[in-house]
Amino acid sequence: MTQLQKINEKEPILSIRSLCKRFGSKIILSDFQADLYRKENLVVMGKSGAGKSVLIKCIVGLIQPDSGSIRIHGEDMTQMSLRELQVARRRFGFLFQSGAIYDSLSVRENLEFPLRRVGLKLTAGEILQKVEEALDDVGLLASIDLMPSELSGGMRKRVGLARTIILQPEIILYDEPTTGLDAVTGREIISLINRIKEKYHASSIIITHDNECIRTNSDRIVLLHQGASYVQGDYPSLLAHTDPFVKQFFL
Amino acid sequence: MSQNAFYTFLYVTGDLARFAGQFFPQLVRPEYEIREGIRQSYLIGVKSLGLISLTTFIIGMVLCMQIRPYMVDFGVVSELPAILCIAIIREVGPVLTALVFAGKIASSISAELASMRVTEQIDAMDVSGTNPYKYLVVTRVLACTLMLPLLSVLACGLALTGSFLAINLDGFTSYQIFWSEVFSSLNISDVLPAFLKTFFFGFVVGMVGCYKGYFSKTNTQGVGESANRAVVLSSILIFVVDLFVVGITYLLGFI
Repeated sequence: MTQLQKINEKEPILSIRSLCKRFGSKIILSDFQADLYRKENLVVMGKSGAGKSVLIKCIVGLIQPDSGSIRIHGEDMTQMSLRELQVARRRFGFLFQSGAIYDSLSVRENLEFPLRRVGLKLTAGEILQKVEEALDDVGLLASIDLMPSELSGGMRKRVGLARTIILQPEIILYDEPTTGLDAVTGREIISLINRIKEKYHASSIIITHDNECIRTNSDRIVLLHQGASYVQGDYPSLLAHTDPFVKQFFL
Repeated sequence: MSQNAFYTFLYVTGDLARFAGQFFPQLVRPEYEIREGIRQSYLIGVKSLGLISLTTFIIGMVLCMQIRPYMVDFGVVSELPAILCIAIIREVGPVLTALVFAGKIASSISAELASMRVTEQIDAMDVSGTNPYKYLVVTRVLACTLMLPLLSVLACGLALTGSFLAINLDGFTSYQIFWSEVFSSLNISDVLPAFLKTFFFGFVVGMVGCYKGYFSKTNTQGVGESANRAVVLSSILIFVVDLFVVGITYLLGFI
C-alpha cells in the first residue's frame, strides 16, 4: 500500500458536522457530528424516536436538514441542486427497514430497475449477469422470477439488499436491517452484511438496536441521544463504559 | 366555511397546482418511461372498461325511458333519437364516464401510490437515482388523459345503443332509422367540445389521484383517506372543469 493510499484511508469519505433538524417545535437532531471512513462499518444506535432514521434520510437527501453539513469526499450534499444530488446518490445504497421492494415488479425486475435508470448503457446480457450475481450473493438466485407477494419477510429484505448492492455503491446505509425478523433470519442478514463488506469493500452506516448486529458488524459505534452524538467508540470500549445511560444499551 | 377550512382549501389548491405544474417539464425531459406509460394505459383502460360500459349502457336506456313519454305527449317522438344523441354526446356520456372513471381510477392510483409511500418504495426510487414523479406520476396522468377520451367515445356509443334498445321495448324503430337520425342531428360543435373536455377530465382524475397518493400520510389509515379524498376532489373538479368548458363553448358561440 502506498503512502498516499494510507493517507486517503485516514480521510473520512463521509463527514457530518453540526447537523440539525426539527419538525415543528420538536428537535430531532441537534449538532450531530460523525465521520465515516473507507471500508468501515459505523453503527448508529439510540432509543426509539432518537432520530436515527431521520439522520439516515438526511444523509441521502430524502429529508432536508435545517442546518449543518454532510460532506461526501469534501462536497457538501446539503448545498447541492437536485440534479447534483441525484448524481451523488449513486455513491449510496440504502436498505430500507421494510426492504421497500416494488410490489408490482418481479424480483428480476426489481433488480433491473436501478440498472436501467442510471445511464450505464448495459446490454441485456450484462444486466442479467449483474442481477444473477447480486441474487447469488444473497442466496436467492432460485427466486429470480417470483413476485414480492410470494416472498417471506427475510427474503424480501434479502432482495432489498441485492438491489442495494447491484450498483456496487461506495457507502451502504442500513436502516434497522434485522428488525422484524426472527433470530435465525436476523443472523443470516448480519452475516450477509459482513460478506458484502468483504466482497465490495463498501463502507456502511448501520442503524440498529440489535446487540448481535452491533457486536459482529461494528467497527465503530455512535450513540445518538437528544439529537447529538452522545458517545463514540468501538464495541469493547462502549461495553466497558461506566456511564449508566450507555450501559443500559449493552445489558 | 371557517377561516381554517378556507386556508386549507387555498393551501391544497396551491399545492396541487404546484404539483401539476411539474407535469409538462417532466413529460418532455428525457429519459422517457415509454414501457411504463404503455403498461399504465393498458391497465387503466382495461380496468375501467367493464364498469363504464355497463353504467353508460344502462343510463342510455334509462334516459330514453324517462324522456319518451313526454315526447309522445308532445307528438315529437320522431325527434327522440336526436334529443338523446345531443344529451348523451354533449353532456351525459363525457361527464358520467369521467365520474365513474374517477371512482374507479383516482381511488386506485391514490391507494397504490399511498401504499408505496407507506412502504418506502417511493423513497427507494428516489435514492436509486430514479425520478419517482416521472416514473409514477407522469405515466399515470398521461395514461388517464389519453384513455378517458377513448372510453368516453365507447361510452357514448353504448349509451346510444342502450337508448335504441329502450325505444324498441315499447315500439319499433329500425336500426338504420335510429342511427341515421342520430348522425344527422350531430354537428362538429356538438362533438368537438365534448370530446376535448374529456382530455381535461382525464388529466384532472389522474393528477388528483397521484397528488393524494403521493402526499399521503405514512400510515395505513392514510391510504384509505387519500383514496377517498382523491375520488371526492376529482369528482368536484370534473364539474368545475365542465362548467368552464361549457362556459367557454357558450362564449365562443358553439351552443
